[in-house]
Amino acid sequence: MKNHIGALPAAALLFCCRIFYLLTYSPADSQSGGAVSMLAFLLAGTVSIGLCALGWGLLRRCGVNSLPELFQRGNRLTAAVFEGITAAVLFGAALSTVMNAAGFLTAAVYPGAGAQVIAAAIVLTAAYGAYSGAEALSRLALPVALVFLAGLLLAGWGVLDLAEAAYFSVPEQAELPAVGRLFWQALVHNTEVLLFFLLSGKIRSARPSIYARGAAAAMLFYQLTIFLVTVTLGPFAYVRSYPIYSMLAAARLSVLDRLDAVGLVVWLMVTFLRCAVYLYAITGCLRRICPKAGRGRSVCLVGLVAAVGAWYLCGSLDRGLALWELWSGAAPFWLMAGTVLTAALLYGRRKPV
Amino acid sequence: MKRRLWAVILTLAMTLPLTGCIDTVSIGERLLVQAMGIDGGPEGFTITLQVFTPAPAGQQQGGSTGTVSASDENLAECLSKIYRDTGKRPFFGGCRLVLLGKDVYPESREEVTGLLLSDHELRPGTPLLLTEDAAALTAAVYDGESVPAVRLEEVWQTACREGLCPESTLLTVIRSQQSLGETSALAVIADAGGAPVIEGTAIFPPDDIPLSLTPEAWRGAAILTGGAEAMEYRIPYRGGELRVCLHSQAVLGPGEQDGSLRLTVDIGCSVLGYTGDKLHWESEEAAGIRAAVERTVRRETETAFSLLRETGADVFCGLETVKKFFPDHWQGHSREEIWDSLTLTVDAAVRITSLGPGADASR
Repeated sequence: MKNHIGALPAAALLFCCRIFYLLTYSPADSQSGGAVSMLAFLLAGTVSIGLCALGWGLLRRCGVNSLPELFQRGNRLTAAVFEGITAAVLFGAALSTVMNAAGFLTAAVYPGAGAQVIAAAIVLTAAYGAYSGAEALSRLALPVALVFLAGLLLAGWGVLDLAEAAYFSVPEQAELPAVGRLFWQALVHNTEVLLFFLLSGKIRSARPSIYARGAAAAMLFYQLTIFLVTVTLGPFAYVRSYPIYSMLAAARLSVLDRLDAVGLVVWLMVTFLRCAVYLYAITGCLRRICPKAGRGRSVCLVGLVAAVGAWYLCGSLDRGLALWELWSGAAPFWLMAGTVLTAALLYGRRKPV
Repeated sequence: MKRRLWAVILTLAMTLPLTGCIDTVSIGERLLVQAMGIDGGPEGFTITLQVFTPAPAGQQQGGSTGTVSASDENLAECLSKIYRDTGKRPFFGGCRLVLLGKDVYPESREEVTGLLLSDHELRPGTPLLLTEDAAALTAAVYDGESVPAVRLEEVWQTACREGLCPESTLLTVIRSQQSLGETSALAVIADAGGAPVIEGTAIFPPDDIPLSLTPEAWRGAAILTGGAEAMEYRIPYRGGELRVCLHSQAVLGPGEQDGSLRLTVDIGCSVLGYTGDKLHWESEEAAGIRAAVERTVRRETETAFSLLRETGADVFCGLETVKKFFPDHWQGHSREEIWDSLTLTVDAAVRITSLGPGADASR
């Protein structure tokens, strides 16, 4: 039973991937912060669990346990097309992860540092992580998730005396369109459902509840963190690019002065995990397209291509923004939804070739 | 052989990212800023930095502190001038406090806060204090203090704990400026006979007519804004004077009527001394002391609330609280109407937590 991932590590891996954007969360304006964000992310997480259950039901009706199994039902050409589309979507997710990470590090932590170099370094390190395999990554995810939880509790304790409960209020009717907008963005930006379907063949006793656990834990984190930011920073959150990082920097504990440094270390590990697992998934697509390609060479190739892509995109804000606007929109979501539905319709009742 | 070649090529390729350090600035090329003073003047602004220079390796003594300053029309150019004059880049990660001259705040508030927010290294919890001459205070030297900014910071922290001035940090000042009340409160510090002291509090309501409060007058507002850790009071009691230390925590919530507020204060009281007859530690005595402390706290808080309401200084998130708990009332009235009709009920609960060494007991 090679590379079989336990249920808890798998949920932890999905959790780590989902919370990646947490540290760099920034409300666009005073209309989109606080309770509006909390409600939107709660709804998006809940709907994503529903989508996962729906997709899983579809796969099971087709008699498969994972998306690659479904794609491989067809001939080589169609399988290659489907895998290629999936790889393209995953590439977008991996590159946006790296760009987000490099952007945050050079904007908030190391101004003057080269974003391109940081991005390339993250990708190449993540490629090595991808080479280690999904099981190793999921085993790393569990302690990272626990440290993240402990960090959040510490942060909460450290900012309690700054909290002003008056800053939090339930969304008004006029704010519901903002909730809808954020909900849709969060939903279509979720590639972890796709990740689950790609890895489900390697997860022991895979079922949607594994994704649900990871997603629910991530939702809880988002709720707690955004709530803390809202009541401690208040309107200060709208003048900072990275309010959660500011909150960690403002936290005061008698034994730990630089909570932002702890948050940064944990977040870098989350960045590594997310990028690595996406590169792993892309490698899987490549090896299914070219079965003769060895694991090592495939990972090298994927890592180098991703590094070149990250280097190119981080070289100019316009290029980076162009990718961000493309991949943060609904296009990848509809593309994958269409791909999965097409494959299900074509091969749903067909026995494996 | 082929595998080794690939390994060598990949290793060389992976060493390329190690050049990420290429843009780093070594510590020797940095000005380690301990305090920053910003004044207004004929040339626009003057920035004074108190900088710490570590001792070279191998030397016994711990380093020295000095000041650098520059003047220009805008703040960013002042910092650039300092960089050009010294050849070193200011580093604000260890900056203990920022002193703002009274001629700079609130007149140039936007530019000053813009500069402070733009620097990622300046921590949100950095104190912002108001003073007459920021340059002079930044350059002040105190006996026995190798880094004078430490003394300034300690004086402010002690005053905050005792409820004598607000906890005016970059975070709290910006937060309150951007809140519905649009009011900021800054601690005022001065040099009095060679020692820094907190002179009081300067409050800047939306109409920018500042309100000055003495340290004692701020105590009521300190309770209103959440509490303080070690407020000392002298309270007349049974013909003598009771000396107590109070630790208060307050929560502002909705009152019974629309647009009214209730302040629930939990007070831990430590009795330090009494100038009258001995205190008899029975329930009646304890109840009497509790009542005296409650009266004092309620009076100070209500006085502070009246003063702040008259001057339009919402330093306690009153408008936010009304909007949160009375949304219909908020929608149906203008901000001015809501503020002018705001009422506050104070519910104080006192717990005598300890008897200090001066509180003699007799039975």
